[in-house]
Formats: sequence, structure tokens, C-alpha cells
Amino acid sequence: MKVRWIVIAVVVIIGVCVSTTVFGGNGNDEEVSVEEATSLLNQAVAYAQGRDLDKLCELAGSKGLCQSQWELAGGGQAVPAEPPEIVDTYLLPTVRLKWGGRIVGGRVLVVEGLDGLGKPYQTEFFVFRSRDSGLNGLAVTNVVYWSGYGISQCNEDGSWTTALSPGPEVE
Amino acid sequence: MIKKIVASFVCGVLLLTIVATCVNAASPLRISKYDITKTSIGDQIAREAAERWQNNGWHLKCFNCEDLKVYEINPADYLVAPASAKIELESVKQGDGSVKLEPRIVTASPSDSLLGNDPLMGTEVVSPMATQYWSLMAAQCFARIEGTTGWIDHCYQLHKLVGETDSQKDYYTLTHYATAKSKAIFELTSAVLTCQKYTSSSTMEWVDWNPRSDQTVGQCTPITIGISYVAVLTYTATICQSGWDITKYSEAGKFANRWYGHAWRSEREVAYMVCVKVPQGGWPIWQLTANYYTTLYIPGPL
Repeated sequence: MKVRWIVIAVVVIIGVCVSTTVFGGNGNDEEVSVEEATSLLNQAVAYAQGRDLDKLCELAGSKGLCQSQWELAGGGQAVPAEPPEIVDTYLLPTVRLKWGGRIVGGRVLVVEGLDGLGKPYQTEFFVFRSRDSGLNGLAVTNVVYWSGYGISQCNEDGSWTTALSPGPEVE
Repeated sequence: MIKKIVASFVCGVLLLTIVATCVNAASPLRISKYDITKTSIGDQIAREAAERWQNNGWHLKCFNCEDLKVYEINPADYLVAPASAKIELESVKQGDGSVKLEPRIVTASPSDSLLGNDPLMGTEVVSPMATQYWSLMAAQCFARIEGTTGWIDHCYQLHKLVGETDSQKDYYTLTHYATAKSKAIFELTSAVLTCQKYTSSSTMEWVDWNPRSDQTVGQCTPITIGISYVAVLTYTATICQSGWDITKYSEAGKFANRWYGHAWRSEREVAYMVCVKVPQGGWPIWQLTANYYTTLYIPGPL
């Protein structure tokens, strides 16, 4: 009887290990190149200009947040007519957390342009590696590239905060 | 004689019931009574509001203003709102003893079909008075928090109330929202968002928060949350079973909302809004947290 339970326990443990490693493990830490990020941005532009929200949100890390951002940005009529200009790019480092998890790093493209209603935008289009979401191992936060959203990592003390000062964009 | 007594008693009970019903029916303040949309001044106010919001960068889908309603809730005190917004009026006693009506947005019932098709869903477009509105000050998403069993992505928006008449305070609303998902053979059992005043923030005082209470649902459905202090600000999320469990603290600006249930490799959302006032010229800073919890997924019987 005891042997039977031991066998079951071993099978469960192996199953969990294999599952988390093969299917659910964290994405690898290889840097996202500018070319990879730009390729995703080009795909996002094509889907947005085709008003294909489903395809656009397939690129996103989170479909729910993508759909929400699309609405908050003004829906289909606010989609920019022209592709955005990439004005800057930088790497956001991965941060290891005490409990074993991590805050996923990646490549930020700072993009600017005019949205479909003529309003200027600057958005941080963030591309990161993910086995669990996005397409072909890459996913995007702020895939609605005209939304005006920034991307943030945690502070030096490990906390997350809202903007520490009003910033230049305040009216 | 007994028959007469019984008949009198029955009539009395019926009369009391009718009176009570009438009183109860009259007690909610119907906002439709204050609707002036179809008057010339209402039409003008709606058009001006739509134009002003568009100029402020909000993307209205109702440029012809047919989806807007205008209410005169107090003399020369106007509320402009999406036609689909569910608004109640409350009588608020003022310092001088007078009574003033104040609008309150109702947290949408998950079964409220109006909100599922709200043409202004997820936008912040409502303002009473010509010059009072919520202005977007900051919008950020955070890099993904991820472990071997799941992940959570969270974002926030920070709005400032523009045009209020309080000479001592400024008013801010934080909207904090997230999506979480489990991986592999694990199921998501909860996703939690919290906020509290950061050490270097200006002093905060409570104004409002939403959801006001726990929400339990039977299936995934849109839910609109909102803050309606002077002007109305809304956010629409999807709530899934089992529901949301809020914790509102007495400490100003401190709040938590938790989605709880069972979801295997399926996204779940959680969101809340808090409104505080800070000394005029101050700047509110919130410390935020986002967490998810998972357990081994054991499929139920087919």
C-alpha cells in the first residue's frame, strides 16, 4: 500500500517538474534585439491599420489589457493613419524576486506619432520573451502603440509606485 | 360585529401597504426627472461638452451627441453623462443646512446589458459643469511578474480633477487594473491588487472608492466601476466567477481588490478605483502591489 502511494507521489512530482520546465517555465533571458522588437511593431501597425483587434491582441502579453487599452485609446477611429516613429530604444533588465519569481525584462521601443484624431502620442512599446503568451516566444505590453502608456519596472527598493512626480506631460 | 372588525383590519392593512408602497416608490431620486437633453440649452451643453472632451484628447464616439444626456440636477448645475450610464442622485446636507443633490455612478450590475454595449465603455468622458473634468496625468503598465506557475500584468491611470472649486485641496483618482493567468498544470485561484500611500506622497484624505462592495458573479461579464466626485470617471473590466473581494482600509488611499475562483490557463481580471484629496499643489504617490496565487489543477468530472 505504502509503495503505491510513493509511486503516485513520485509520478506527481515528476509531472509537475516536467510540466513547469517544458510548458510553463519562465522565458529565457536572451536579450530582445531591436530587430525583433521592430518586427513586432511592424506587425502591430499592420493589424491596427486593418482594425484587426483580435490579431493585434494576439501579440499582447495580456489580451484583456490589450482590449482595454484599445478602448481607452479611443477604439478604431483613433488608430493612427501613419506608422509611428521610433525615437528611442533601451533594455529593461529582468529582476529576480525573493520568492523565486521574476519581473520580466525586455526591449522598449519609444514610439511617437499622431493618432487618428490628430492627438500626439508617445508610447513605450515593450517586447519581452514569453513561452506562455504572444507569438513565437515574444509578447508585447502596450501593443496599442498610440495609447500613450509608459512601461515601468519596480523601484530600487523593490516596490512599485505610481509616478513619483507630475512629469512634463502634466497640463 | 366581528365581520366589521375583521373588514376594518384588512382595509387598514391594505391602506398601510398601499401607502408604504407609494412612499417606497417615491424615495429613490429619479435622475430622468432632471433630464434637459432635448431642450435648447441641453443640446448646447452636450455639444460643448463633446467638443471640449475631444479637445482634451478624449476620443468620444458620440460626436453627434445622441449618446449623451444632460441633467440639471441643481439650479445651473449640469451633469453630462453617457446615455447608458447608470446614475443615482443622493441628497447631501450642506454646511449651511441646505440640501443639494449629488450624482453617484452605480457600480454596474454584471447582468446590466446596457453596460456591455456602452459606446463609451472604458472612457472617461463625463463632466458636470462646463469646466470640471478628470484629466489624465499618468498612465503606465508594469513589466510582467512571473513565476513557474503563472503571471500577472498590471497597469494604472492617474487622473486629476480639473476645475473644482476647493481652494484647499486637489483631487486625484487612481485606477489600478490587472490580468493574471496560470501556466501548465496549475490553476489560478486568486489575483490581488493593492495600493497604499507611498512614504514620500502628499498627505491623502479619502473621497471615494469603487467597487464599494464585494461582487459575486456566475459567469464572465463586463462590469463598470466609477468615481463620481463632481465629474464622473469610469473603467470597464471583465469579472469572472467566483467574483471580487474588496478590502477598504480606514487609512486614506489604502485599498485592495482580489479576484477569486478557479481558472485553468484562462485570463482573469481585477480592478479598482480610489479617489483621494491632497493639499493643493501636492502630488499623490501610491505604492502598488500585484500578486497571483495558483494551485495544482485537478480536472473535475466531465
